[in-house]
Amino acid sequence: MLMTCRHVAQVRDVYLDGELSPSLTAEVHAHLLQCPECQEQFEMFRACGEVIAKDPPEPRLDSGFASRVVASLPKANSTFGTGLQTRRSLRQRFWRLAIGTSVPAAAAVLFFAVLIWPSGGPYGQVLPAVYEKPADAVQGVVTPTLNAFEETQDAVKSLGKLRGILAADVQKNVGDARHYVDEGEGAENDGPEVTLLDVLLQPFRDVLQPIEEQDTESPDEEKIIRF
Amino acid sequence: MSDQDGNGRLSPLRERELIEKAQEGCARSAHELIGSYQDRLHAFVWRMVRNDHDAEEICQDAFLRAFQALDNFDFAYRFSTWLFTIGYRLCLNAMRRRKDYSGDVDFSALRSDGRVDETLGVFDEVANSDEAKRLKKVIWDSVDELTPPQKATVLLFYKESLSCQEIGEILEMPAATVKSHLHRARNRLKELLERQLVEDWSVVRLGVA
Ligand SMILES: [Zn+2]
Repeated sequence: MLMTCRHVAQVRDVYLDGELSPSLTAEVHAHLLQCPECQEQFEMFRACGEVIAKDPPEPRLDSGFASRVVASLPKANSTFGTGLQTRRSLRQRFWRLAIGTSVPAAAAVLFFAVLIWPSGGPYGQVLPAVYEKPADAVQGVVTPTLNAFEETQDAVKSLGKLRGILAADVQKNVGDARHYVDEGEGAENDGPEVTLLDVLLQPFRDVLQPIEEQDTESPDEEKIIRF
Repeated sequence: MSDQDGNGRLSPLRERELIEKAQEGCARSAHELIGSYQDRLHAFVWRMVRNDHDAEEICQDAFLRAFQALDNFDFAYRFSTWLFTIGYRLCLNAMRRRKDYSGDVDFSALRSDGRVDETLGVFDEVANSDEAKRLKKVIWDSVDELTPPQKATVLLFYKESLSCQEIGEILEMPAATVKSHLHRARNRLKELLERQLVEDWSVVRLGVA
């Protein structure tokens, strides 16, 4: 029995994802042969896929791009490799902040970072270092942690899950860290529900300012992107 | 053995070698890594932000961040995954910052009607028919209507030919979420494109190499 248009619509995405079984794929093809409407729709998706894949070519970066990037990498003599200057100053800034925030709060930050950070992902391997060497952990965790939290609602969701489990620990630390939160934006939200994210981010915020792009102005800017 | 696969991409072995050398501070290896990835990253980023200046800045920033954190690179992943993850985040930042990112100020050339579009020029000399040109423009305009995650998903799926799993690693979401973005994107594209009076979608393909 031939597939109906409705059946075809039901398997459309699986088919287009390239994950439909061979036998069902054959049935879809059989339907398309005798149904101009479905055929046109699939032709449209095919056209979309091909245009997106190949046409037109995007403008290309000029030939000096790679050299410019290499030239702007932190340098130790003629190589960028060690980047000592950058890292040391990052560390110094971090520890200055961490100490200012009180050590327990900083420890809480690392603790959360480890818990919240997904087990997979290209940053996965830095996690063990958090336990072994706190100093290295700073450079390893700062960027991914900020990346992880920054503006993603997923981060807030993960945080929501943790909130229940960790409420007790948080309470202990919020008091110490509160002055950062109050200086920051979300001051009207005083409860631990909202401040937790701020508390977690605060020590990194300063260090990673470039990625936040000095977004100092209107709070409503934050609302523009939604997942 | 070749350093590149059929698509001109680095072989995993060569990539690893370059990353290891770059970790030790070899500028030439860094240069080669950048050279191997800049076009792919830039194509993706440019499609996301639709602005030449922002796209270049984001690419530069993405490479800098990738190299500065290179010591933490996990060889279980491709360098491209890492790079695209950073690039995507920077795109979101830039789009958020640019309040009118969905407006047509920055890419008026692509939206202009009735005159030859410079960015489309090269390819369309091969492509030809007015109808094919119109359809391609209609398709790209529709892609620009998608939400950022939908658009990123569609670009990575069709342009980079990545699996939903790989896309999920870049966009930092489960493969199932990627799929639902992709499916919603298709529904949205269908909705937008069905409004167009198109006799034959296959004419587009004549213009696609
Ligand atoms: Zn049908």
